[in-house]
Amino acid sequence: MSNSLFTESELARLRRLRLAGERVRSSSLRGERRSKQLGSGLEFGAYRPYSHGDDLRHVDWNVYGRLEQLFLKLFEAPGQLRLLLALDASPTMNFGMMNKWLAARRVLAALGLVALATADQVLLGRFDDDRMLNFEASSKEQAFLDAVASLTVGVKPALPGAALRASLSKRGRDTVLLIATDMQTKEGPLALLNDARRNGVRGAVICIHAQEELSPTLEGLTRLNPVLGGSQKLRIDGPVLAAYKKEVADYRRASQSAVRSTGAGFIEVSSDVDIEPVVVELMRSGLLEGTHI
Amino acid sequence: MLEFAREQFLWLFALVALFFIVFLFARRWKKASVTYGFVWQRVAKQVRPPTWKRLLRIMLTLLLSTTMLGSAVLYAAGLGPEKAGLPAPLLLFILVDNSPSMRARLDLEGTSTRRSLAQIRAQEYVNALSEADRALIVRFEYGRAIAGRWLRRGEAIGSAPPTDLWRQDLSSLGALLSSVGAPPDVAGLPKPQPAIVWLGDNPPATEPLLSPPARLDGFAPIGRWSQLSGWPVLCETFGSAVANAAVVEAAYRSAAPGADFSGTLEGRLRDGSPACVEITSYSDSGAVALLAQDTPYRVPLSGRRRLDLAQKAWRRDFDVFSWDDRIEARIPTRGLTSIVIVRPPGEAPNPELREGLELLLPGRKIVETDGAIPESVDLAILDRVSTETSARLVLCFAAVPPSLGQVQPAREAKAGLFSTLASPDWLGFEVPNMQLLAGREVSALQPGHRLTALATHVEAGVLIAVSRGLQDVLFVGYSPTQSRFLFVPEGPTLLQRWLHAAQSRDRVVVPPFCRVDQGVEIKLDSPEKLLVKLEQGWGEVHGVTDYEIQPGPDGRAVLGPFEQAGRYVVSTASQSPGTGPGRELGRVFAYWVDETEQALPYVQLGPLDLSKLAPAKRDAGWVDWFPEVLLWIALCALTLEWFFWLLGITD
Repeated sequence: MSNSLFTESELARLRRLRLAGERVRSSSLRGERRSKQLGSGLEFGAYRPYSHGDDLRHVDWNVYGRLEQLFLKLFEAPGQLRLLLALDASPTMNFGMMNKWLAARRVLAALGLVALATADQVLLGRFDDDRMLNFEASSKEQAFLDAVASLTVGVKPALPGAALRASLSKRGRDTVLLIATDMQTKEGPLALLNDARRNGVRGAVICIHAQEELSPTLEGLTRLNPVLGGSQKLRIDGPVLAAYKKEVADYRRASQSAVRSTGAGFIEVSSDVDIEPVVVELMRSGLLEGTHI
Repeated sequence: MLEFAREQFLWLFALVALFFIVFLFARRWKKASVTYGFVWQRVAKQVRPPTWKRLLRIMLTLLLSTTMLGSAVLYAAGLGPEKAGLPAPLLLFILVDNSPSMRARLDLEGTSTRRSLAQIRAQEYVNALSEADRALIVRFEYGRAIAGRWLRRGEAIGSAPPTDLWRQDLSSLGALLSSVGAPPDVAGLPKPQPAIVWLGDNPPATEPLLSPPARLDGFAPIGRWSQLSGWPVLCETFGSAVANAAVVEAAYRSAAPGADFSGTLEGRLRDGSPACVEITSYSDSGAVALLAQDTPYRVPLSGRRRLDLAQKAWRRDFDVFSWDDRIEARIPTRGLTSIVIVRPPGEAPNPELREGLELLLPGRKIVETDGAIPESVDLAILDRVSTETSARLVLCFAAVPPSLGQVQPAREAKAGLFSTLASPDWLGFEVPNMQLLAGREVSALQPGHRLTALATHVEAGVLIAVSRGLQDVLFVGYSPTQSRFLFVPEGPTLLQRWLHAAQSRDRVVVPPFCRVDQGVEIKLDSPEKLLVKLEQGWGEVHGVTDYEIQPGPDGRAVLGPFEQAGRYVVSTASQSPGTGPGRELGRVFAYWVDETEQALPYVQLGPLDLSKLAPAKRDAGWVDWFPEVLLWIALCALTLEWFFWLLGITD
């Protein structure tokens, strides 16, 4: 099975992790988590596009009448974990020799793959997407991966959209929000985290950075063209780089503090890091089990 | 005030402009895509200097670079004081007369010569040059002008050139001076001006010069200036007008064989009067000069004396030029001068034998002995004594030296029984008819002898024989006392002919003297290769000293002409290559004759004031220091730029 996000070996390791997650799922205590039962739940969960083989009884014909597209109405049964994977599609994410946007998608894709073994539902989307992509435990792995791979970075910073916020308002303690961002436009992630806290959703920020951002190898007369912001000329030497590094470190500490102040977790990931340790760390944190990290 | 000496280097400013273009291009801002734009903005606000500082940085960089490069280019282009206002450099050709007359002393008391004074004067000229002037010394070799190397002010000119016996060819001077280029370190502008300074005793023929070179205007009166081969020339002379007595002709004629003198020696002085002969005899107490006699002079047979043809009144304190005052005449006296008769021990002298020899060889000293033979004997008569002798001629009566053979016991030999044998070609005389010769005691040669038989007695054997080589030996088997050998005409005739032939071979092969500029023919007995080497000359004279001469098949060769005057030793080449000369044949004195030079010509031309040779120095101003200042500016700008770059103040 070919994939633009992972190699075959990485996929194999992720599948092993997914199996481990499934054993956890099967041995988890009832009553602490909501079970996942498609279509038979009492609460409306979300819509997802109709795919061949789905039960036509769950089609929301009202939506079809409006949009002339088939969507399935999903109901969540109590005791089911829902994982929200939100991608900050700011233009600054598309940066780095080891691209941050690719790294973000890889992280969330890996987490989603593993979570699909333990959670009932995985919602995926960018901040400003009109709708969230819904994946259930029965969803095919390739469809999920293709959906993640197809996400593109935006042309301007965006605040979390209504679809994403609506997803937070639907469920509470059984929802885990994972935000992949670089925190350079922190208004969006913070706003989302505040919404999550208000709705009792547990959240965590996966802050992705590129090595060039922390330790730029610039020197001499340089015209800086930021991804966001106006260009400027600067003679870069040692003191200038030292000042830059200090400012970036201060900003990151502030960002981490702000995130934690919302009650969410904060994980720093380098864009060139291996995916598996990140996933393992998150699994150990219990976040994917519904335990707060 | 200022001008460029090398304007072509101003093109380097184009490189300077290129440098700045490259500098500006190198200042292009590199583009870099970054994130954290807001962070960079904050950093920029912290670190960016104000605009005026940034402009100052650029301007300071450009200013220092411009100053450094511009100064270097101006220095390379030779920006300095105007040369049009500077005096032209002088190229002085100092011609030191090295003719023989320059060897004359100045006076009778001192040792300075015209040559030494000219040498000192030449050095003074070099010392009086200005910094921009140059000089070189010109001398003559084989009559042609030869140039030395360019000299700066104060440089040593070296030792005096050797005397050149050849007549000076002034036509070669013009060609030489035209071919000598200006020294490379003399500035091209203003154009250097050449001049000749002639230092000698008798200036050469020159042409009048209308105007002296501008560079030496005021150095000498206009009347002192002339031109030589188109070049302006000043002359200075040394010495004074003096007379010179010299021997200008010498001749020696050998006497006929058998004469009581060796030969005739003649000489003539410059004034036509005959030269005198000074005879120096050597004894145990040293050399003693005997009386001087006018020529022609009969050279006695006795040797061991030095004969010099000299001016009669030659004294060191009379003639300032002594090189031509005498001609050494070492005449080989190879005639028979000392004769010894060796008789048997205890026997009385034989008066007939002595009287016969005195008739044959008048004027000789004859010694009789019955003991050892003196070493230096020309003719030894062995009267029935068989002994070895080193005499050149040996006359044996009834005995031979043991090395030549032995004689038979004495016996009687009657007359009329002689058989005269054919004479060998080298004998040199005819053996007289010995038929009437008889003797009561004759001793013939035993077989095995090393002589050549000339006459044989039928009964007795070989009674007349000769030998020729290092020694000429005549064997007569007759006893002088017991035969009629001395009383019949045949006997004395034989002796006379033998002595005559021997003395004829005692000719002088090498003439005692010749003119240095003329060759003299000699005739050798065999065409042996000759080595001619200068034994004593004038010293410090140009020319070779050693010669090799190969005579023709007939033994004829020409000695000379020679390049140096003096005494030469003529020897045969050694049989072993590389071991030097072989047998000495004689010595020839090559004497120098030059009517013009021997007159010690002199024209008084006093010294010039050398303080006017160099142009008056102008006061040094800032323009003189300007080139150095440019260099220092460039160096300081380079240092500052490097220092500021280290501090990060400039780019």
